Amino acid sequence: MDDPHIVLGLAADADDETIRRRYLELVRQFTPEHHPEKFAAVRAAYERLRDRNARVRYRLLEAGRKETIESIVEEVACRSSRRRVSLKTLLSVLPKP
Amino acid sequence: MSKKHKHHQTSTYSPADLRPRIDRARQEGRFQQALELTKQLHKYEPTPANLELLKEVYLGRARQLRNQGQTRDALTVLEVALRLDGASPAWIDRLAQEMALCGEIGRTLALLDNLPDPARAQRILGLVADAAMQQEAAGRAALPPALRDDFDRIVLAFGQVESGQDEAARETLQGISLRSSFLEWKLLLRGLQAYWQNDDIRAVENWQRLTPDRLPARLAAPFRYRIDAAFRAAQPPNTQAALQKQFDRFQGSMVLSQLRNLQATLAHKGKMAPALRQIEMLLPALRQEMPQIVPRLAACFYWHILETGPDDVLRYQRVFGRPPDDPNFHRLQALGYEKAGELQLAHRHWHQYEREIAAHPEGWPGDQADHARAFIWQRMGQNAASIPEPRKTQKRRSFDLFDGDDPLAPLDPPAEKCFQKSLELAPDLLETHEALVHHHLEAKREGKAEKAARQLLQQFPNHVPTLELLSDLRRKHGDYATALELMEQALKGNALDRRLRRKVSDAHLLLARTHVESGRFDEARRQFQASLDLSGGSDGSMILAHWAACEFKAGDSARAEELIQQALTRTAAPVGVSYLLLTEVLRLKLDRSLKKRFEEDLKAGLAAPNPDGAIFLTRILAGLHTGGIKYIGQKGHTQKALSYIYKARNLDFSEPQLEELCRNLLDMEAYPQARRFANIGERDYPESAVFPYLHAMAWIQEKGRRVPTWQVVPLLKRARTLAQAQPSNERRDRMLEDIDKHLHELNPFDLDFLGRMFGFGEEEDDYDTDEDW
Repeated sequence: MDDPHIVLGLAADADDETIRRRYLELVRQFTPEHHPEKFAAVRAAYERLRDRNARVRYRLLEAGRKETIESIVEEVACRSSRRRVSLKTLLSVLPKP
Repeated sequence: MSKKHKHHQTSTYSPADLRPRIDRARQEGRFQQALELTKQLHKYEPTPANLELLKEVYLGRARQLRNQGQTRDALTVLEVALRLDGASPAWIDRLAQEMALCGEIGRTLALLDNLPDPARAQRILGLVADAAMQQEAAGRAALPPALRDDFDRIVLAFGQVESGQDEAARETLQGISLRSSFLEWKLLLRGLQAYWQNDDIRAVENWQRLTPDRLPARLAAPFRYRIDAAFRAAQPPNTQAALQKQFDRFQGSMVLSQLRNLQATLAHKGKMAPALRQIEMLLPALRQEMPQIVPRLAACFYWHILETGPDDVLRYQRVFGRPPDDPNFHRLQALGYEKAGELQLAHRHWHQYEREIAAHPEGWPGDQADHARAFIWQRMGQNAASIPEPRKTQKRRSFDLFDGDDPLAPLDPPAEKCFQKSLELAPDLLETHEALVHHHLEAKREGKAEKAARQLLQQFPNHVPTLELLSDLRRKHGDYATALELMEQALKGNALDRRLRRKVSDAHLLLARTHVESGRFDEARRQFQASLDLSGGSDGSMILAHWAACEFKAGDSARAEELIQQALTRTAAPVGVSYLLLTEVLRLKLDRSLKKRFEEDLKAGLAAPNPDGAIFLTRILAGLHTGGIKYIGQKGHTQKALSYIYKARNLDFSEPQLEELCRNLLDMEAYPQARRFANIGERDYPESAVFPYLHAMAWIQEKGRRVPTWQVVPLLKRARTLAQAQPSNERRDRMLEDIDKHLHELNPFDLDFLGRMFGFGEEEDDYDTDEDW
């Protein structure tokens, strides 16, 4: 997930104060000791949105630039609901005895 | 040659010939031939060893047939093999296991009756259970009555789990005991239940307990592949692809499957056209099932156009429509042309994009539209300020009518105007202020640079680089009081910064010298003392030498001699003290006897170069240069000092000494010498990031010379890699920041096109391989 607004769970028009408050809330929740990856993602997202200039620069030159088809496929695979399958379906992938 | 003929030929081999042939046939997977040969060997020499070999080859052949799906033939081979040693429990055990794997339940169970060890029998019964589950009703019928109950429980629990009756399934599975042959199936189901309840940890816990060569482990694998990163990483690529495919089949998502096809198209062909055609088919379903994915997919393809070329713009637009942030693709075209070095075209598209935002500011919250426009003007300014070198061959391809532009012509509007427009829209845009200052400096418009720097300081009064820069400019013009004031302002927020302390110390020293020249000796002494208080290392002896000259001028020779002694005790390079005193004697027009004395001292000192002396001399010369100080005889002295430094090139410099020497040479604007010593540093201290960095700086800072990008970019990149490998500290971080800034200026997108354009790493004929832009 590349969009820093989504990473921080913020609206696209969030202001400095809202962004900072949300950032502090998330880094308290996802400490670097217990959630290093999430913490790094939150930090990186905050750096992109921390002030107006950063936000404008991000929107002008970076928004969506790191999207890859791989990450989208992964996202779709994760979001797809887990369909329960029958024993017959499970066995169908095996060669017939 | 027919198979039959081959077999006849083998019958002529002696036992000694047969063994290596058997080994080779087995190694190469030719089990049928190995079996024929081993039979012959056993016939000639019916030893126990040959019997064991024959059994192994029989088993190998049976496994091979099973893996090829020929289970009936495999069973025939196993039946023949049984006759070889029908009374051996170990042999029966192995054959029974293989028969179970072939799905032969009845014969396996019959063989198990002859096994005395119940533990062995239990393991094989697990395989029998797998075979029965796979054969469904027929398998159940082949099982003995004692195993049918657990078979039924598993089938029932599967049905319950499938229909979401997890609690009922759990109760059903409770009937499967720890000793049951169906225990692995229970684990499989427990894992599946957890997986479908999104409890991945519990799912993996269950599946980790499965025996890898049993059927339940194989059935769990596609699900485990999705959620168990370690398991996924442990699989070879082919298995990963197969598991992914199986998972998609279980998942049954059309969208996912089509997206994977799309991924494969992009990966194999890298072209947009077929991928966009696939997306056209996929979009309706995607909009319905996962509408939030559509803009992400659109963004992915939008930016991908930069890689594939302008022809795909219209294809993109047909599929995804106009991007909300770039409805006429001006931004994309601007970036594309920048990437290809076509700055004229990039400039026009940026300008059009800026106008679009100005016409529709409502798309940007608050005052962001003005800032967005300011960023665009800034970028246009940077492009205008750095027209790239001409390409040797011009073979450009563009997608509009501006194709005939000369890429070397100055851009319109020019850089200064672009930066000014940017600052009108956003006066707090630091980068634009800095870019404007540097643009004027590059063009040797120091007055305008100063004005721009003061504008910057109005917005950012404590911006250290600008305070330093302005101080340097003032110092150059002999305005030492203002230079000192600016440096003191810079030091205020960074009181412990050694570099800044040194620069403030220098500023005090320069001011002290002006007081000496004007005969204001008391003010001079105060400034000397302030300079001394902030100094470190060899600087103290330099200040003391200056102070000594001051006292000679003031007529206090005793105090002067005392200060000279203090200066000499503080340094290992008396040559520096002599040189400094000589320059001051000349500058301050002191007694000729002093001139003679220090000339002799200097001559003696220059005869024996040492690293400290080289550093001291360069420090003095740098001070004279940056202070804009001139005196009669300076040129000759500088030549002598440079000759001394040249002689010192083969001496052993420590890393900090070499770094200081390089920095002094840079301050002196002695760029070739700085490059030479940086090169020595790169050779002697290959792990240090400083020397490639200083080497690059010696190219970048050299005025009136085009920066050889093909040399400087690799130097900066090497410096960056080495610096990144070091632990973070302020000095390293500042250097990294500077490296990134220069890399961005020299190679804005870190693109290989620079390499192609300027020819590094490739032949000149390859200049225009990036044809699309």
